[in-house]
Amino acid sequence: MLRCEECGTGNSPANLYCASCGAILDPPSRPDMRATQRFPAELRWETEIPLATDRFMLYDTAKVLLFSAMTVISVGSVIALLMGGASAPLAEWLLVFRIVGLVFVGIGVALLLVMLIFFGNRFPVRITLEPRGVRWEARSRRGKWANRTAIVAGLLTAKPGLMGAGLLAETRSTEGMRWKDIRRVRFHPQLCVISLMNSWRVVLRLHCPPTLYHQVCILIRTAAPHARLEGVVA
Amino acid sequence: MRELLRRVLLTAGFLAAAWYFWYTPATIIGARVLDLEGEYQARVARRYVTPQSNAPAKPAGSSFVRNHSNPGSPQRYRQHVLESRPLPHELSLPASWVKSLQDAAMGNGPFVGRRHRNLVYFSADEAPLEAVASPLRKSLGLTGFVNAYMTVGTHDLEFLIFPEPRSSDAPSAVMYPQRALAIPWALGALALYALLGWPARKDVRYDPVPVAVLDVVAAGGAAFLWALPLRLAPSTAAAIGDPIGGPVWFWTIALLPVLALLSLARREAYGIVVTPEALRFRSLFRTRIIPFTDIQAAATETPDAIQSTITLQLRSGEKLRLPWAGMQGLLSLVDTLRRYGLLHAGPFSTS
Repeated sequence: MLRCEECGTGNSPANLYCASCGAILDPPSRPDMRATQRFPAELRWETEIPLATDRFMLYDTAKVLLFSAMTVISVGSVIALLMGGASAPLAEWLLVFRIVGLVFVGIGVALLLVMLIFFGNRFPVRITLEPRGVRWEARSRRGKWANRTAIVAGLLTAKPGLMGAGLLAETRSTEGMRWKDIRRVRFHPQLCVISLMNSWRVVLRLHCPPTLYHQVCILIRTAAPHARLEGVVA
Repeated sequence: MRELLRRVLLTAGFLAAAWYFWYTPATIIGARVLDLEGEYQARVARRYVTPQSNAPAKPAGSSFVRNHSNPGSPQRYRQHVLESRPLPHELSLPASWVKSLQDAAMGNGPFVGRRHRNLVYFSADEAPLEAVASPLRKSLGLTGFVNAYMTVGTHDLEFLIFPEPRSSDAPSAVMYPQRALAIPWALGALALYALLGWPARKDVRYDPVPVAVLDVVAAGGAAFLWALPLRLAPSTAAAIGDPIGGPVWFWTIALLPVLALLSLARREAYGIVVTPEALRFRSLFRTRIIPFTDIQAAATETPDAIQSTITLQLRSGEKLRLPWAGMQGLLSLVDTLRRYGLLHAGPFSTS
């Protein structure tokens, strides 16, 4: 029986969270697990991440677009002020805001269409938990095809931007994170998703099969005991 | 049905909002009080000043034109302008209305918001201008706009009729008179969408957050595409009067986001309620209850090593596939299936 440090309720040894208050049962309060749980050589699964219907994908896309738009608006506003003088700074700024806003709304809609039409709202990935860390690999054939087409088309048409985009996407098709680099772990049990973060941002999101979620949680907590744990069972 | 109704209300509200946002009157009239004598002094008289003897010689033709088009005096100039395109004499306008028109030129009075440069704009069907609009329309040929003059009391008035409102410089208050209604309609639609009631949080169902985001994007896209011809045509009446010339194509494209909304309704309606005795499957139009005693086994399927479904094998031989990507609350279903001893080993490989 595990005792919750928050409310004192006794919990089953299999529980990651207190059945009464939902608090995470800290590894120190689970000495049996620390002692007996051995990290398997490798734990691997393949799954399909929904794209346009995944809240994390939408949030990350919106975050990147907003950040880019704000950067462009800031630079554009400064240029407009310098070029147009201070006669009507608000009008200049509003014009820049409207133009950039429209462009980024267009990009957002285009990205949604690509997710839905080109990828069919599914993106296959393989996730591997291994003794060194976590590895995330894109398994989408369409994605690989698009990346390579962009590289070749960029080469043939002498467009370094297109080629660079393809190369960038290709290099990002495999990502990893070492256990020691994980600073925070946020659990989303309602969606069976685990976010692994360094000191300032989310590096990887692990979409787990529901049958595997608890096991992945235990492994991560065992392998990265120094990481701050966030989130409760909904 | 609730999910369908939710989206119908959202789309209808957004369509109404787009309609009100871009609705224009069929015809716009610009009016101003003329100061023809002042205009003569400022613009006309200078043209007919006798050239100085040391000025450069002008071609003979220009002095001919000058001599034969010279109105001669402010009074003759006024008469010449007013008689060039007069409105019927029997028409009259209230003196208070003319006074408001005069005040607007000075920057005050009730018509200030309708003024742009030296013209004050009105919808052609607004009182008291509907009487003026009719003879003005008659004098329209193929021109984009036409002007005419009348005298009310001691004031000379000029009217310009714009059968294509977007070719005028009318302020938004006149060009888009219903625009203030757009935001309440859109907000009302969003409020109805949100307040119509949602499935219980503990139910197994698709994550409602991205579905709600996509609903708003799809309804907004449908409304935008539906209303775009209203914005591109010279006026709302022109867009509706000639649907084959453009609007129908946009409205056909607008069906795509509507289809996406139907798909989202189907997705949002899908859910599984776990009860102590059975699983209740909910879809858009029906509910199916499967007691645990009817389930032979449950397993995660691994076609091509991709784990994306949990398959229920029923005693009747039927197989039910439950997709889990993007769904929430599945842990309770998995726990329940495990508790009943129905779930087979997990779909992962360890080595």
